[in-house]
Amino acid sequence: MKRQNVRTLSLIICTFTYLLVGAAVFDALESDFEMREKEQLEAEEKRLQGKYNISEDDYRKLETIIMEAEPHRAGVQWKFAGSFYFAITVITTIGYGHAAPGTDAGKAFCMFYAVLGIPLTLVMFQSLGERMNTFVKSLLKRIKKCCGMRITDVSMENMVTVGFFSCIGTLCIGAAAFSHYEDWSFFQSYYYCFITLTTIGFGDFVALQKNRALQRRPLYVAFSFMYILVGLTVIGAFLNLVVLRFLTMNSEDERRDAEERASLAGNRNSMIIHIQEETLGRGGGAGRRRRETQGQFCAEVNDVPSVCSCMNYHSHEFGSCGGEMGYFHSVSYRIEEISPSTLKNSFFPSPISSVSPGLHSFTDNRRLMKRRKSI
Amino acid sequence: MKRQNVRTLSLIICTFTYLLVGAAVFDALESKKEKTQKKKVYDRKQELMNTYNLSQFNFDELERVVLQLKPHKAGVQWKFAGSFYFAITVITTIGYGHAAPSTDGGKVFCMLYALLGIPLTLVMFQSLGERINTLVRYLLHRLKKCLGMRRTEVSMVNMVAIGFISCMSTLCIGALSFSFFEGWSFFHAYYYCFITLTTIGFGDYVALQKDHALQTNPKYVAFCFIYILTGLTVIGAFLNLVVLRFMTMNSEDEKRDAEQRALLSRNGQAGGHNQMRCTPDLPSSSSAASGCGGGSGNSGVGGAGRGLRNVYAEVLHFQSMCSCLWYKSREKLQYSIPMIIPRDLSTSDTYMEQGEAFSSDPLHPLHSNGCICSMHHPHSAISSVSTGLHSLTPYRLRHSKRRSSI
Repeated sequence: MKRQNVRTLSLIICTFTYLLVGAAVFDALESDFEMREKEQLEAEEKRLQGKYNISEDDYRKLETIIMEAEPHRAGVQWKFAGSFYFAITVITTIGYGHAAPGTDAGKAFCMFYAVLGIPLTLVMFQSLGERMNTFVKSLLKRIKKCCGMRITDVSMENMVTVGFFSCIGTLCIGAAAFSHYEDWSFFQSYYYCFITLTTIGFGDFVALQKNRALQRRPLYVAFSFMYILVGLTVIGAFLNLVVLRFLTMNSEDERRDAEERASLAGNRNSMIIHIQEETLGRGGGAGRRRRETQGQFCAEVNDVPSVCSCMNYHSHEFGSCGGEMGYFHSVSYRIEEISPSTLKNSFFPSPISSVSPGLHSFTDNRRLMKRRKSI
Repeated sequence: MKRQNVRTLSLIICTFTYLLVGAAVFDALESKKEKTQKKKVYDRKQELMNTYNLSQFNFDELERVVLQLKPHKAGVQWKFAGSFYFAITVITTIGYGHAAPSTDGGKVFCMLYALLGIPLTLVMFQSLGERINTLVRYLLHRLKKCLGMRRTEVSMVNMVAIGFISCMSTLCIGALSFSFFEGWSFFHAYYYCFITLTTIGFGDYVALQKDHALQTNPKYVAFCFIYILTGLTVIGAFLNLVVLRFMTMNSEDEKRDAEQRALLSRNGQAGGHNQMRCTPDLPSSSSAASGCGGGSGNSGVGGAGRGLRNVYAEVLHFQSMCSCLWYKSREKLQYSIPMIIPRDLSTSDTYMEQGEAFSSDPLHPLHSNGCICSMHHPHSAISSVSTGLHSLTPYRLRHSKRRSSI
């Protein structure tokens, strides 16, 4: 089976297994507590209902009122500061839900806002993350030189270690800050930072919801926003370093397979014809002519690659005349981008010609063979 | 300024502007309603408090209880079905928050679970999304053939259009189902599907929270899970098609810059070898000369060994060298049988990689034929380009690996 299919299938199976295992563990960890808490709360509810003599109907009403009042408790959510906070939770896909658009127009705008904002933010964080990685790499190289180490190359392990520690550092700084400002325990703050920076965003802990911080404490508000965005950049840089390469693996394999197919087909065709001509029309004029036209065909169809192949083999032939026939194998020094005409006859013009200009353009011959790599 | 830095700075500025604009619009859309709703709720609350003679303290007590009971009212959240639902919201980063771990152990496990699960899920969705794109492209190709169209290639526009339509249909199908099962309006169900499949996951609308569905309606539960996972795959495929390439742009540019730098430094070393002199020695060289000059396509590159400034010229040189030799060999063909390499190719590619052997005998005939196309050069040009890109070992047919998300 093709490598990509095997990979995809294994990933699917892995993920499902992971979900099953996670579900079982969460069940084991939380079910008991849930049952106990539910019993306690229901008992409490009954007690209070009885104490204040609230009818069932009225209690439903009370519940509704309390639910509706919940976001308001935390303060004004939709003034500029609150809206900015909300906008951040939308485009970073954190999505606490502490405030959600109440109007239908707000919901509709939220969707359009997300459609454009999420890709923009993804690309921005990866872009900035890559810049950070490059910067860290050059810094590390300098440090290694200064320390007088023999090998000044920065290895992947170095980068991963630095990245990992930056992530932990970011989480700890956030945990310390929020536990101070929000009056949570360090562990709860750490949990909050983690859930935020992985963009899960449950909403069980949300910053800027106490004491009308959104309106009253602009410095703390600014700090929260900066923390979220910078933290996401640090995590993004780490993902760019470690995970991004895996996201494009299938595409790369697919591309390589296509190239193999094309080169095999292209080269084989031209080469076989070539050889046949040689064996058939050794001395005949007609044969020679055919040879030439075939040779020309060889050049036109495959342009550089077979030309180079021809070159490679013929270069050995100069020293001796006549003799041994061997096999042309498909040696292709494919410098695809240089001669777009190469691909005119190939199987898969579409992926290449239709690849968006950002990737590599045929017009820009400087962009040669770009290999995906995140370092 | 370097291209990557310009790009990054523009993206940062764009994003901040986008946030500011969004904040302003949300403010305009929601503030008024928030105010009126707050007032209404406050009034109703006062009314209720008066009816039952509740003090603020009492009310707070009640409020606490009600809010804490909220998830419990929606059903048992942590039995297997509910935990599975929760696990999905964690590793896909949707994170509704309808249920969140209460115990410290649960929180810790949740963090560790996310640490491994999120990258796994990201890679899985992209992998599957790419497979789907490939399948769709293949199907479309066949379809075009069947329909007898002249051009059967599948363009990017085709793919994007299909991707977009699939996303819309996925959302609409979900909207229909959830509006039926959950009793929401179509618009609210659509909004729910959108917020879920973009993994924002506010939690203002959450499926499987009515009538104890998690425990009593296993088919609907299964549908929800499958819908979320499939929907995320469709969205992931679309992202793979459209967005992924932009996420690696900076790295690609960085790599290309590094290659250029490496090439330039090599050019400095190998400058002396780089000249291509096509001196017409042979009688048949008239065509050869034109072949060398014209056929190479760039006579100006002949002296480019000294002043090469970019990879383009570098590779053109290689190309012209190749062409030159090809044209030479074409002449040879008329008089001799082309000798394809009798020895095994491994030696030849070793030579290519080391770049040394060509300076010796095999090249000598080239010199005598008047076409000195140094074999050093392609070595430097090609080997300095990152190895994954193309290797000179012929058998390995892994040529230029070009990153593309299609």
